[in-house]
Amino acid sequence: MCLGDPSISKRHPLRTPVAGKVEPLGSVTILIADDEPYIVRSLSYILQREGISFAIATDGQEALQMVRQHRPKIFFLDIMMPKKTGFEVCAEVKRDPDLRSTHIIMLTAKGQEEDKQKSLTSGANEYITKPFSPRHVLARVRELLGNSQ
Amino acid sequence: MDPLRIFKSFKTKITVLILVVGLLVVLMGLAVTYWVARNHLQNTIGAQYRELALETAQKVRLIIEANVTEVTVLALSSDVRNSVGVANAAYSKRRLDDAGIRTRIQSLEDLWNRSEGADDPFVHGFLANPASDLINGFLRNPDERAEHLSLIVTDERGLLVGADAKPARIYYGEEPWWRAAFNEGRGSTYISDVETFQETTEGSEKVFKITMAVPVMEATGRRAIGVFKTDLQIKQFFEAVTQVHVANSDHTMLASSDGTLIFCPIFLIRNHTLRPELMQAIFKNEPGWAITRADVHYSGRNSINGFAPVPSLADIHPASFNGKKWYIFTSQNPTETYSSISTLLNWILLTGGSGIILLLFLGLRAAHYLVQPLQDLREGVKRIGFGNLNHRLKIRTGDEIQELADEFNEMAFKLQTSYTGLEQKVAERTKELAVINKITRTVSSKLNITEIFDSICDEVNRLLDYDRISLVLLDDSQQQIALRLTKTKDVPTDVHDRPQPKTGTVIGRVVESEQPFIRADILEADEFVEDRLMKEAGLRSYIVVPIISQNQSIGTLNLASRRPRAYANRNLEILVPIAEQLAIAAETIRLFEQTKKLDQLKSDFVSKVSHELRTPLTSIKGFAEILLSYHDIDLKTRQEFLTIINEESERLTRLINDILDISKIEAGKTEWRIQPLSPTEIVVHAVKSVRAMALEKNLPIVIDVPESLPKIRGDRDHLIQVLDNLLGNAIKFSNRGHITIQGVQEDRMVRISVIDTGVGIPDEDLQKIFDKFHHLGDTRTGKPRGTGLGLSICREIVQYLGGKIWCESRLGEGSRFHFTVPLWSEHPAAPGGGDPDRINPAGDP
Repeated sequence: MCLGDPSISKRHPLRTPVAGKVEPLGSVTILIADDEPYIVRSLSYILQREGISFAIATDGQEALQMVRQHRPKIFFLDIMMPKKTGFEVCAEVKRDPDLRSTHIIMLTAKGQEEDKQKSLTSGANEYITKPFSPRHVLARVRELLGNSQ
Repeated sequence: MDPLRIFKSFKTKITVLILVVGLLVVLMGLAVTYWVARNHLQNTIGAQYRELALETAQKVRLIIEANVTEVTVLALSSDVRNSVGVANAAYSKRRLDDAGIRTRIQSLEDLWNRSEGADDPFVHGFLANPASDLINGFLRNPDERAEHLSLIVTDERGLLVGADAKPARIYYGEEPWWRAAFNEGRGSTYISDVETFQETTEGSEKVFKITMAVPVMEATGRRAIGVFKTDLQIKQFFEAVTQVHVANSDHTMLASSDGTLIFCPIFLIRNHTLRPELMQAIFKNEPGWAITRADVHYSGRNSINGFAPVPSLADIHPASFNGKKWYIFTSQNPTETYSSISTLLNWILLTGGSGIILLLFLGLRAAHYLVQPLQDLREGVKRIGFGNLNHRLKIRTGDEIQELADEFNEMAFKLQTSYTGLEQKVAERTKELAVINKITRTVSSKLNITEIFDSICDEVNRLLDYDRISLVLLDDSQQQIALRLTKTKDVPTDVHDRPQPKTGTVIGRVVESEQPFIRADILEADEFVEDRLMKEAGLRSYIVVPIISQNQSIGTLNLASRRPRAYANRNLEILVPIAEQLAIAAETIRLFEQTKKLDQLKSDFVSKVSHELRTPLTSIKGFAEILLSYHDIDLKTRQEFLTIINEESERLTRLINDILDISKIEAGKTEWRIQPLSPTEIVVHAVKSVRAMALEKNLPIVIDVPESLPKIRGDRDHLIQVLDNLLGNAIKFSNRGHITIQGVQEDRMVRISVIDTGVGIPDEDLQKIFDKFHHLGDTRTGKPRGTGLGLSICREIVQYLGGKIWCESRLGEGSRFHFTVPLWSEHPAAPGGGDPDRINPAGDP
């Protein structure tokens, strides 16, 4: 997690406000895993505005570690990430009985049929193709959280 | 079968021939035997009958003579002579002349004719004399009575003197017998021809007689004084003749020289005559024998007749026998005559018949003996002709037929051998073709060389013996063995894909000569590496066939056996086509792999381009939407979001430009302006454009490119682009130290190096940094990232110009990027490193 490397996070222009809003362990509703800082920034801004707790991971390994740690309800998972791809992370999460209930939404930039298929076979609940609409994502989040409550 | 066939068959012909020849011989034998036997028999019997006839003739003569003697004795008796004398004396006593005598005779005749029988006084008185008494006395003997029909004595004028009864007439002077016997007083014996004595009322039996007349001589014997005549009954007379027999069925006849049969025991006399030709043969006054043709006595069959003339009597009157001559004539029933011949003939026929049966049997046997082999031959040849080449003719005649049969057997054997050979060849060839066909199908259906090899092993195993089979493929430069697939029987295929040298191997030799190589016996050679290796493995012989694709040996197919001399040139008939198929397979696989690789590259590129384009777009869209959705965003944040949108738009633009750049270079649509260039001038120009960026980060740029370096051959703008990229990266990833640019001549190249003191690149990334969309230091910098295409573009440019680009780096200490450009020359090698797949990995100096 970017938080683990202060030297880098300091230089990241968008990291500081996000980091400040990170909820204590166990209270995170949503986990965002993406190595693209601007995408993370846009999603986190919306969630922040809506008062939904979230955490951020910037590579596959970190994402896996954090999903175990925070047990989020919704997991936005980018496919193209360093260290571990979104597919691998997704498959691992779904193999874990404790984490299986996590609602995984794959974020795919490829927009190809192959990726959609692969997302679903690796166990993802749904996928969103980049570029996506933040409003649309928010609506979906509300929907999911409303149902679960 | 044609019913006529049997008559046409050789067997029948031979049988018939033998039969015909045999029959001819038998018949000739029969004919000759019959002819000889008959002639002999005829001669014998003829001679016998001639003798018989002669004997009988003598006998007849004796009988006649005896009768004559008997009559003569009577005629010369004194009683007769006296009575005649008395009668004659009456003429002289009355002194009668001739006329007077005639008158007296006339008158006596009248008296005689008027008288009635012997008791008439005139007759009685007339005949009352010693002569009549003698006659009556003589006839009292019944034998004589039976023989002598009448006895008459006349005087010298022919007038009756004495008789046994009253004769019909009294005067006989005009009768021939009287004239002949009296013979004008000289007297002679007369015997008449056969005459009818009297006819019975029924006419069933005639009595024949002959008249015998002798003169009555005077006592002196010089002069005839009267005649004594008797009528002899012929039956009695010839009794002796009929009793002449030599066999059972013969009979004797008496014939006269006019052809009339005087006496015949079978037919009535005078009822038949002799044939003129027989008469001619007979009446030669000599005894002999002849054959009577169509003898009426014997139902018209030929008979043998003996004959002999009856000898003349002494003093007989020429008019006797009516001037004719008597012949004895004997004949026999031909049945008896030829009975011995018949027996002979029967015997001959019997033996002949047996002979013919024997001949028939022999003929059939001979025909069988001759023809059976021929039929066997024909049958056998027919069977062979119908394709039963296993058939053999079993003829053991030891002659030309056997020779012929042997020839046929040999022919059949040769045909069989040749057919078998042919069938075998066809079968082999079919099998080979099937195998090749199977291999062809396998090759065209599989794209994995190991799978193809495995199936080829199985298929080859059906045709050729081997203990080890291997497929060797060279690398693309044909310098090294790139892949060796080896299969030893019942062991899984061994895949050896580490490069091996081909020097000193038979593989090398075959690949270079492009000719197959056969090692008959490894023990006799130690030429190649394989000879030693295979010897150790217990193999004795091998065959190596080149795999030639597009006129180049790309590998070999090798078979080895534990047997020496397991392979020969003829095995190439199957191995060469298989090698050809393998060449096709290898080429197909190579093309497929290449296509697949290109396809994957293309697909990856498209996918990456999509990803790279979507990322900034997502940011742009996301922040634009946030700005539109929330109206209460503070100015600072709003500014931040707009900056991001702007930055990401610029990134998108760069990305699109870079993509276009690399696409143009790869597609060969870039315009190149090749010219002699000064390395220093280019470096200086490139540094100018990045100096500001470097100053911003407080990074001095040191240029160590001597102006003495020779001119290089390249495109100015593109080389500056390469330097821009490398310098940009160096500045981007360096936060301290400095950046150095070096220029060194190496051989026919100038090497330019960009050296930084930045973060460095991990070893695992060194191989990938020139790949498209490989972002340098993704997570290690917070800076906006590049397009991920810069180094790829650099590589394309450098390679196009005929140089190389590579990188050395130590994590935390910095990186050294090097690239080379060829020196200027008027006649350079064609620019364009061309194939991106053929270049050595970057970093390999």
